[in-house]
Amino acid sequence: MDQDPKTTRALNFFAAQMVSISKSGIIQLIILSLFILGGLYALIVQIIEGHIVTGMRDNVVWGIYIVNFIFFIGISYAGALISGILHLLGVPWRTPIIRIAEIITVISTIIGPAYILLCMGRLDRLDHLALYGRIQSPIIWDVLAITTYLIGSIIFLYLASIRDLALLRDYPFKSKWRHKVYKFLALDFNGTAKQNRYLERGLNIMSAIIIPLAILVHSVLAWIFGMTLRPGWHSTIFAPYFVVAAVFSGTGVLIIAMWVFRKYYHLEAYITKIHFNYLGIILMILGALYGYFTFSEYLTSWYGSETWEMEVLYRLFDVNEYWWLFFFAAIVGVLLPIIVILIPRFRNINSITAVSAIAVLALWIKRYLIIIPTLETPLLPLQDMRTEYIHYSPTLIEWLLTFSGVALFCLLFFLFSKFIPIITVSKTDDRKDYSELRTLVMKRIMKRKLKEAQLKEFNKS
Amino acid sequence: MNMRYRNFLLIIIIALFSNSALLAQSDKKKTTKIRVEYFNKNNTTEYLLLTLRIKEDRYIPFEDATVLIYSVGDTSNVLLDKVVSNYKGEAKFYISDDPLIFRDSTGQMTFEAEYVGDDQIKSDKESISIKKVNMEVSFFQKDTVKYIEVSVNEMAFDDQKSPLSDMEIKLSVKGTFSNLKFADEKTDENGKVIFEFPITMPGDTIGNLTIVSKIEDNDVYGNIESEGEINWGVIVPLAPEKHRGLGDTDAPLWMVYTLIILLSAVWFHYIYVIFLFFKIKMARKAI
Repeated sequence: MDQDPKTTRALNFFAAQMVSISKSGIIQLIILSLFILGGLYALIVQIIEGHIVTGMRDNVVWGIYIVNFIFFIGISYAGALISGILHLLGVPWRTPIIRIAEIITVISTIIGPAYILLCMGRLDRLDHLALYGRIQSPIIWDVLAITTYLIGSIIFLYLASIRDLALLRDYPFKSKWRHKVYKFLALDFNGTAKQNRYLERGLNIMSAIIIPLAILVHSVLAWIFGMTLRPGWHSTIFAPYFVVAAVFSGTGVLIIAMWVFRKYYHLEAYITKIHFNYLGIILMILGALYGYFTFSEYLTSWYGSETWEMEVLYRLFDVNEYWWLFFFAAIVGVLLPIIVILIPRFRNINSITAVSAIAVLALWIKRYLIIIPTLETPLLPLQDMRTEYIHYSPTLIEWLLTFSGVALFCLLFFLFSKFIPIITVSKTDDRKDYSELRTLVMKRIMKRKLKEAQLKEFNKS
Repeated sequence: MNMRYRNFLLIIIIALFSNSALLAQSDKKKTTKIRVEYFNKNNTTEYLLLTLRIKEDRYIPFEDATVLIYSVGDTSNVLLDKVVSNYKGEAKFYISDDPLIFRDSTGQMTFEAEYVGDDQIKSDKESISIKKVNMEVSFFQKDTVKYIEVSVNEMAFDDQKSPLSDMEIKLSVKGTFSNLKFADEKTDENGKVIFEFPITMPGDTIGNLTIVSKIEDNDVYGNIESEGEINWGVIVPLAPEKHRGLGDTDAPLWMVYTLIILLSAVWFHYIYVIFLFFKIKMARKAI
């Protein structure tokens, strides 16, 4: 395939990183593998001993497995909405971040539903879902929607990678397996006008489909709670609330991933402060929207003062129960990103990443607070119940499986980056538009500084 | 201060301290309390309910304590079983027709529950003597009036029945979480008591009711409970309230069709995009 010198330079840069691994990289791989092994051990213990090894009991039947499921499906929005919307709008600065976003989507949509399997008591009956599942049950709709979403995300990632796969096919790698795999996946793409037309058509279709599909998936997930008549769940705003929370956390994870790969692969020339600033502003807007939804949700419950709703709220506001978690999830995790990104003095790459990490953690806790306190507040009075049946606390097994999920997420990301450039190489042609944008921004900054200097001079005189 | 007074004061202080030291030593062992109650349900299930408490800063349920149950005879005690208390400090010993259980000529049985203690916990024992009672709940109707009859008889050693008079009977109707008491009266010289059935009493969807008759905490006979079922209650139809959950399988058909159409549209586009893959491949070959 013909390529310009810039693309060749970028390809050489990434191909060299794909075939090598540093000492620190090996150590990180070992650490991730240890976490995953810990998770495997926990899984074996859980299969042998049963769910008694978890903190879940008759009363609190959902624990951090479901929290993780919602969390991972949430962060999958990074690719679905961000890359989908940016592609459809043709935003010029999207190129360096779009691949990272798409990979986040695919990996998290694979890992998230695995937690549902961990939550199921009888895994040996999993086939019954396909054999006896009834389309009249919305729970099956959730399964269908997530499966459709996963396949759509994989197709979208693949389509967006074909140009790069074609470049990699023609690159002189030493290993033969790479050539074979790239040759198979590149679909004989060599950049003809017809091929480009077909590819663009496919990308446009997938970008347009993936957005409503992602909204549908998270809405169905939210309705599982919203349509259940329990305090803290039975809410009409849960679907949009979940969607906003998902995009918020997805953007947060995208910023963290950008920061990690920028450091690890030295991508300072590709992922610049402008990308962090733009995504930071998106994060700030989403944070404000999410904060508004949170405020509205709790205000409505509190003002109505319905007995059972108040039972849950009392737990959330009780310093001996969930107050500090609630404070972090609903106040710190929302306000801090807004303040740091809003004030230019605080805004830099590291601070934006730090507040993104805080927002992501806050959203994990928020999902915990949606599920656990409600289940700990049953509608029927409990008599002669043991404490562990009423109060849920995750066990070591659950934590091991949770951390192994996060480790698997990181490991798969790392493996992806060794197979395909983490930044779209073929799209680096677009950098012409991108550099124009950069010049425009720089001009504006210079103009503002000049005005400030003139104002200072004027005040002095 | 006078020397004599000083010595006297010193002796008192030493005595006080040594006494409190002794007390402290004896206080090291935690005290326990055993309570034994007898229950007879429907004339078929008899058991002793043992409730154990241990003193920490206050009395709390004593979990995992092993208690020995003896049958107390004329000359010696016979060990019947060992039971272990649960998290509520409770343990049950079911009374069977075990020949080891001693009954005197009046039919009275005496049991002793003993917690043997250890280095840190004091032992305790408690005994109970009981006589077996048979209590029957029956129903009859005279003209249009409906009645509940409860008969109470003492069971002798040879299972001979003799009526028990002046026994306080409490009548209640069984509920989901607890029983609702509606009458109490004492038995006559025939060991019987008759209650008029309250015709406004709500039953289930076909009017079924469970009437529970109880003798509570009797010094000689313990706790006796018998049940009788009758369909005299007011029929209460199931509440017509209906709601759907996402786990139910009764979603409206229009929603099912909409979902199928939407997902089919999405999958049609997937298939089309996969078809485009082939077209991309073909476009290369055509050059």
